[in-house]
Amino acid sequence: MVAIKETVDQVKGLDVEEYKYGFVTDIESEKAPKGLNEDIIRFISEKKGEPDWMLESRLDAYRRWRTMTEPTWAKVDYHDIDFDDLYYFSAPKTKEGPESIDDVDPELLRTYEKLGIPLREQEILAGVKTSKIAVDAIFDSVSVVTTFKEELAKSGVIFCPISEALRDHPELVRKYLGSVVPVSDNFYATLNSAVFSDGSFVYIPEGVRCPMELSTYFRINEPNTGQFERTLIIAEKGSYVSYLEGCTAPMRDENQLHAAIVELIAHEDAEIKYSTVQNWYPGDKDGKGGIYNFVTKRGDCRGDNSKISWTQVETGSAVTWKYPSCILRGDNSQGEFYSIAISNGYQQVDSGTKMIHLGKNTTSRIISKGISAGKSSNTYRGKVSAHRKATGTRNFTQCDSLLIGDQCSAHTIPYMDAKNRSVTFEHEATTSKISEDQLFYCQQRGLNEEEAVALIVNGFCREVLQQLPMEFAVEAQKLVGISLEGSVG
Amino acid sequence: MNVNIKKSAAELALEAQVEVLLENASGGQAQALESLRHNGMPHRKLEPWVYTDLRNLVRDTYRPATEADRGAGDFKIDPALAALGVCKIVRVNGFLQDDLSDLDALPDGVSLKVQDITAGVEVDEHHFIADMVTAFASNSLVLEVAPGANVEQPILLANFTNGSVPVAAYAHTIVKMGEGASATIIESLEGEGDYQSSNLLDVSLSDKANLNFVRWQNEDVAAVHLALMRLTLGEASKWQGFTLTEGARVSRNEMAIRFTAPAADAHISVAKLLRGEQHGDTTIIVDHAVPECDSNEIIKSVLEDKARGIFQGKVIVRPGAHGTDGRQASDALLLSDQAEMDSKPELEIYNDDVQCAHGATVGEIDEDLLFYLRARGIPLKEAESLLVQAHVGGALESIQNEDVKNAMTGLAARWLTRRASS
Repeated sequence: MVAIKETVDQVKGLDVEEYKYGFVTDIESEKAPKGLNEDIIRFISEKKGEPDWMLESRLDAYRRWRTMTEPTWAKVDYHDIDFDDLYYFSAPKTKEGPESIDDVDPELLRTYEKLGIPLREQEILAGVKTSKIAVDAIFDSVSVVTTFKEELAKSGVIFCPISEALRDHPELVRKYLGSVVPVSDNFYATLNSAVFSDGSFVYIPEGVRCPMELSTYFRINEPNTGQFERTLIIAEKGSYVSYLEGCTAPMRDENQLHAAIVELIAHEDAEIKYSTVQNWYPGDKDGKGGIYNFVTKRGDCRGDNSKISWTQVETGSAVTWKYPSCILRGDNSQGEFYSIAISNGYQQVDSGTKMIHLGKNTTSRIISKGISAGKSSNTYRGKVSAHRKATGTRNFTQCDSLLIGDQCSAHTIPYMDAKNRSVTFEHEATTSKISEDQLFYCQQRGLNEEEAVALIVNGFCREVLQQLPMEFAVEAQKLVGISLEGSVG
Repeated sequence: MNVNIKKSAAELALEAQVEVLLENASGGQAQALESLRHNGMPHRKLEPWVYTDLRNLVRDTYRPATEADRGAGDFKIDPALAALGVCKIVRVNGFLQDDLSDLDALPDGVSLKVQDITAGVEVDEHHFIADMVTAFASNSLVLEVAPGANVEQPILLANFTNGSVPVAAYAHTIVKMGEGASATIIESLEGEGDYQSSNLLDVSLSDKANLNFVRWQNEDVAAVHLALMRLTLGEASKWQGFTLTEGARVSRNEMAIRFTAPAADAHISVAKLLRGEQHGDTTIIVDHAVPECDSNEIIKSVLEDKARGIFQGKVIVRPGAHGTDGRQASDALLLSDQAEMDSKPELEIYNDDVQCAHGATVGEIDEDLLFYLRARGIPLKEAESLLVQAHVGGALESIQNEDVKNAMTGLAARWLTRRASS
């Protein structure tokens, strides 16, 4: 029961601990002028030295985006975003393309040190960590450093910033970019397609099991800046990769926009495991500031017997709007979605998944745990659909909500569309508060109320936490504790 | 994105009818007409109608029925219902039929009157079905059960639409249960031909009232049926509702249930049996605005051929509605490769002291169970029927009155027999 002890300790330290990643890195940056127009897009594209087709695609997306209106169906409420009052590109000023970690601005390195992200390979090798993790660190609009690139290259794995991939592997990027989330998919995806700056590119060749965990760490630092990252992961036949994503931002009074696209492609027999610990700045206790997290994440199980698994721990952001989905195209392919979404203060979460069953004998599993506290609103929105020809399809969905306090809200909006007989869909959902009996039992045994709540909540989330890679699971458990700070009494 | 969808003939006809009536309308009717003019026919871009796109499903035009159309054809009360010794109140094409009804033999404590349509319709929130009925119905039928009255004899509200010419029939019914009153009401919805029937039912239960309400929707398979029931429950009142849906080409049966005082209890069960190309939508919104109320929904669907079943449920628990227990369970059996079931069981909760749960399943008949029965010499069709019957049985269970339960079980079995013999 080590994990629970950890959480309890974490909760004990809560009095002083608020959002601990809220510091600002004092670094000179280079920005594109404020606002959005075709010149800005040309600027970004030129800055990245992109091929012409990429620029054309961006401009096409921009023109389409201009004709679109913001979606309003999500159960979230926020101030209108002035898209002309944002910086769409911001990069820390450094020498042209740092060759090694020693060329990176020490201030940046200190930032990642403070965040606990290991960027120095030798330290990791010599350090306490038992398993290696390759990290791509993204700071505002650019990738600062990517570790273990050479070692990964030995097994044929490409792991690099997407802007680099556009230069070095344009054929791959061109083939797959936008093939899962098309340019005009939705308002924010189209915006991203026009202005995306950086993100990670992963290519796992046929039959390769990626020798280490890959991860990207996103940091927004500049004020009034939107972050538009783009991640593309391709797993060729029979390959496997586990990818982690983490994110934080400084505490600022104004809201900042983060609109990302993540595309996963799993070919025959391939497996992609994608884990997120999302801890963007959630705003202060009065609901001021925080990140607007409007993200489109989608995986395409393109080949037979492929598998895509999404795991997310969502504790940050003022407003979250995110539905990591799976298109189960290949026969016998599998999709999984494990989620813990915790909201406190004035946070608003509208998250869930889509499992689109197109192939025969495809299976999917959804476990979603929503915890609302304070004055927050937490919505699960999900869709499971089986195409007429997707025979033998199975889905199991469980979405549970836990309410802590009488001013928060929890909503469940599941859609289930079954279009053929041999479908088996099962959906169950519950909403309740922490039971008095459980609390009493814990308190009798000497835990105070906050400890007891943390313990019960960890039990509630266990099924999802188990799915996270080990290093993240511990981190996530701590986060669960931190996020619920002050929610009792 | 603003997509301008081309209007269908049905929509254009509706618009023209609205314009004609608006010339002389006033009050609630005028408001409803204005709302229809403004909102038009519901379509799939509107969330509550996402699965039932009326613009697409209703293409024919129907003219509002008049008193001159009231020829009842061969209308007879179904023997299964007649055998219950019911007190009949019959409407044809939305018009009350004195000669077919037992108006002189109403049970003690029960009164019936006809009043102007806008006197009894709330127009505070606009809803397509409510607007349609308010705009086009000629009057409201008000059925009152006096406080304390315990009415043993079941009351049958029979609605028949004669669609020998394509008409649209509109019926508004108000049921008021006095304090501590109890009764059993059966509503039947039937007809012949291609027609549209729209049914608005406003039911209010005073404190401690108890109503068993059974609805049998057996409209013609060519018809379009739109029904909205608005139910309000007083303190410690009790509602036991059962609906058997087997008719209509396109049907929408919507219930909006609102608790207005604590400790009330609503039990809603629905059995839906559809085949051919029928489209049946059941939408239930339960609004818990006060403490200590319970709601329980059981939806059992059986879908054959190319039928499409829809269940949209929403349980809202508002701040302050502590001690709420809200449950939804929707189970669907698909009997053919082309049948379709869409479910959306929503929970919207603003309070921590609640117990809410929903479950939804979709699947085909369990092979193991089928094998078990066939191993015992029961032919395939019969074995399937038994299992389907057991599935539907879960919804029939909730009918309180034993005789009524048997009658409804018989009607459901009739559907299954038709299946077995086909």
